[in-house]
Amino acid sequence: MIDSLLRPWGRADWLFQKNPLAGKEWLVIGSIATQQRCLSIFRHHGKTLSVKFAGCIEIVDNDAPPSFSIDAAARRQANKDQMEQDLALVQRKFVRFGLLDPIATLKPILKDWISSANTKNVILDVSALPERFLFPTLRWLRETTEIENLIVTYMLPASYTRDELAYNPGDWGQLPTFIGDGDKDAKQVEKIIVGVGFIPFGLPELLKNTYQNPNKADISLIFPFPSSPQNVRRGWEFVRQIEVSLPLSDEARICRVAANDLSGCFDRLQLITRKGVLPAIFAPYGPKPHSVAMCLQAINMGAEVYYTQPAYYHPEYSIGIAQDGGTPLGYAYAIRLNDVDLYK
Amino acid sequence: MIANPFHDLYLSEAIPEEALVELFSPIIVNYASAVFEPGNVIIRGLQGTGKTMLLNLLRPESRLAYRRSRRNTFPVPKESWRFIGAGINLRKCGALEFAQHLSSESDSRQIQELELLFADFVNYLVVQDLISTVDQFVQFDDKELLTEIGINGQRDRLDTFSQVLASDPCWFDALEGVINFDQLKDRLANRLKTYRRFLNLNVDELPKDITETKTVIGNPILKAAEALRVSGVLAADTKVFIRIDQYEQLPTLNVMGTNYGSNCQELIHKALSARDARVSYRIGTRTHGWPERPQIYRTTDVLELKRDFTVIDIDEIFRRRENVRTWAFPGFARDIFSRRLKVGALNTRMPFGDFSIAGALGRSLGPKECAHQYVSTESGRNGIIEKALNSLPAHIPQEWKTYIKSIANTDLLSAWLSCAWVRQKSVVRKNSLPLGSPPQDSALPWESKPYWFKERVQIGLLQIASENRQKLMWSGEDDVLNLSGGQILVFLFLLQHIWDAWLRDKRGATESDFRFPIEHEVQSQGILEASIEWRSKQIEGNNAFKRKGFVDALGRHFYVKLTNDSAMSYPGANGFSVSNIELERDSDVAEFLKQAVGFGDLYESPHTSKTKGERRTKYYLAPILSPYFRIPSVHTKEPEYVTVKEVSSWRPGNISTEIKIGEQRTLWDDGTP
Repeated sequence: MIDSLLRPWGRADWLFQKNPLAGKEWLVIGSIATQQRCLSIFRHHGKTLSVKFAGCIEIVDNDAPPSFSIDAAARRQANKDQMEQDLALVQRKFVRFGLLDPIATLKPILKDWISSANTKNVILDVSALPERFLFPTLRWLRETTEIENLIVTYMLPASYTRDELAYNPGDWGQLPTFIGDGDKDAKQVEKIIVGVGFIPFGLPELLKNTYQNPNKADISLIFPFPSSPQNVRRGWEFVRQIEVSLPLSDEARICRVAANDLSGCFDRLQLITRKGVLPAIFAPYGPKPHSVAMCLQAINMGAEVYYTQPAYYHPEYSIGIAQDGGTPLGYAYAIRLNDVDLYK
Repeated sequence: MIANPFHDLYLSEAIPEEALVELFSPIIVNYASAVFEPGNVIIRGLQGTGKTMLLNLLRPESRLAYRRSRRNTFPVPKESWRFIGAGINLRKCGALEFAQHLSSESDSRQIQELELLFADFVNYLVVQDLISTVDQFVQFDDKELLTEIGINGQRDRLDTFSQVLASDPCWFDALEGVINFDQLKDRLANRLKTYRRFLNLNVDELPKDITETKTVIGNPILKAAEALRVSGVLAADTKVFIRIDQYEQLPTLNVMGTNYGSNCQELIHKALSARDARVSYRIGTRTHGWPERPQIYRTTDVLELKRDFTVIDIDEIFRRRENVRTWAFPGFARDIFSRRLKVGALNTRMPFGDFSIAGALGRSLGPKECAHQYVSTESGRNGIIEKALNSLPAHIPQEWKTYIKSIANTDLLSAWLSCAWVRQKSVVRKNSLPLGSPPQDSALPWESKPYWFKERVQIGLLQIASENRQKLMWSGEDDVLNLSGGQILVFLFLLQHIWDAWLRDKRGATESDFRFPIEHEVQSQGILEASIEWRSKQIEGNNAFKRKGFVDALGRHFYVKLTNDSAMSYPGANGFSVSNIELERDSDVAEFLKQAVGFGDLYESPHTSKTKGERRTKYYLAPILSPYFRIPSVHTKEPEYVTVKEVSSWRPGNISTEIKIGEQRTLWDDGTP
């Protein structure tokens, strides 16, 4: 709260019962995924929040091999059926996209949902939303001035698969709507900010190939810590792979931020970019709350966001739903409260 | 502290020009002089073969960096110095994002509109870059350089150029009213800014002043080059080269059931089809990125090789030939090595005077030395040969067993090969000559057949190492050059890891302890680490998961086949060969193999079949993977003849197969890090 701005966040069941959010009716934008946790936020309906309208984006991995796609389709269908059951009395709409499909058509769909929902309160559940959809969706919602309260939720699974999470990453490219203004070329970028995740794919070499410039650009890694020992170990392996190609100038280049601390991550990004003044690019490979922080800062800066989008994901990317006494566990982050943008 | 001079693998667009000047090897230019001559050129090659490095020489920044450098001359033949270059990188410039506006409801008119907008965007970007190039040279204000290139940057000429260009009908009045250079730059920048808002999906539609003034692909570029000459900014004989890099990205835009990306490629072909001497295109693309039939947009015509374009295939330039003396890669690699070391010596306290690969790594171990490394004790050698003799067929005469035993301790490799010799002569070939008696006076059985020995050295070493549960040794100049497979990126990658292993080995040592050549064991460790890391990198791009599973299955297949071949009947079984007719029939497998070659997992070349008249293609794993899979990197003798069905069986088909392969691999690795 250096800038005296309180950015409320915490357990979803806690946040939604606090003022000014308590008692409001919500448009909830989520996803129909293979992961069961895509249901979590909707299961808060009637308990900690009231869903007035549900807009769900079903994302299909068109390029997955049959062994994955058949299983994935069955899981998505099961989740969809469950959602229909959970939200039987709620107005809801579904839309289907291929994972790598063009997404310009999503924008009018979001507009339509906002208008149909007839509420100024919107929740975006990013739990199972791939970065390729998350980033433009959040941008468009942030740009919608009619929304008074905008909350991002990230719900937790019971566990993750031990297999590879994602497959066939594409080439290093900008995420939709984050191609920058084109005024800067690689040499003008001064900060490369990478969210540390599990697998960097081609990131180290791509970074080096494009931005290696020892006189100017330096790299900062947003390391999710504290986190589980297994995740910390995988995070360090990620760092090692980056370091092989791009030596870090000093230990301070690794910024430790708790995996769920979106606000803390945003503060670090503000520090690194000197409140958005230093030209930067972002590579969101880390946990979703960190990716959301990067998204918000990139919107503020008109910065480019790069990613090596996988062509498909493991159908069991995550398993089950983390619960506390029957309530799905997860975090909620206030992005806009009473018309005030908290991440500007 | 001594630093690793190979830490930076790439000389890319982002590297400081001062460093590029020191590190760039002019040798590649000798093989690619067509890049600096008029005419369209397709530069293709695997990632890291030097395409971008070569194309960078066309950039004004590189030219200026050489100008600033006192020690280095611009590495292009002097007679070709009169040129300017401009261009785009398709992946970075945002042009691919037009496809975001496609939808399942897009009709053909809308798709075509997006294609034409792509063309217009490319035109504006290139013209903007062309102007920026001229501007950079003018701002640098080096009269000698300006004369050398043929640029006159007087303000009135630039303004005249702007007026001539802006009034050309090719713009459909979009630049109406422009009367000076600054206005021209502003108008181009404003249009591109509006485009970026559209590409960022900030606006749903482009304004009419853009959609109604779309330019024809290539036209404004030609007009800009012409206007530069007409206005006297550019000399009549100064060549204009236009770079379009990452062309292979376009087919990724074939989404929503459209051919949008392919059509954008055809638009680029259309620009090339103009065959206009005013402008020459340079297209950078990965291996197999350039189509066999480069069709021209909305026509049935295709670009013709030699007539419309030429191809520089960097993989082909540096591919190893049968005659090693014609192999161009070693000279290129040696030059880059010595440049790296010299720059390293300047920037760090590197205490070396020898900047050659041979000096740093020494010669590779000979076959005999390798065999004795794998089994270093006398008892070990005796034990291994004893075991091999016991497994020979019972009818092998004792005199042969005694002979083999007698040479085992001094020449383990020959003893091992002798076992294979007697197996072949006595069992494998039904109609072969009788085995006869063993040779006398320390002679070896294959004395009159030197090729028999040469072709089996590698498999023999592999079997000895495997028998004694040792990893294969890789060290010295020859091994590193072979494992690089003609790819400069792989070469630097190997050296990076050798140096890392060396620095680790010498941690805590003083600078005087760093002596060339680096010990063989240290080199071997570094090379193995490089191989492991390279394999783990093969998870990127189209079909990566399947390709990785295929490579793993193939590596294991080769290893098992070679180690089990005790008669050494198929020493060339570290590669496979498939009939071209079969490949033509099975486009799925053919496409898969093509993809694997395109990503550098496999090497392919035409294969002269044993059957007269039959056309086949042979495939080998990338040599850098050999240390990981413990197979020889040298290709000798005939590869394994296989059917398309067998190739297909190596492709992982389902989750269970994939996981099974992974588990087997882990067990098989027995301690490989």
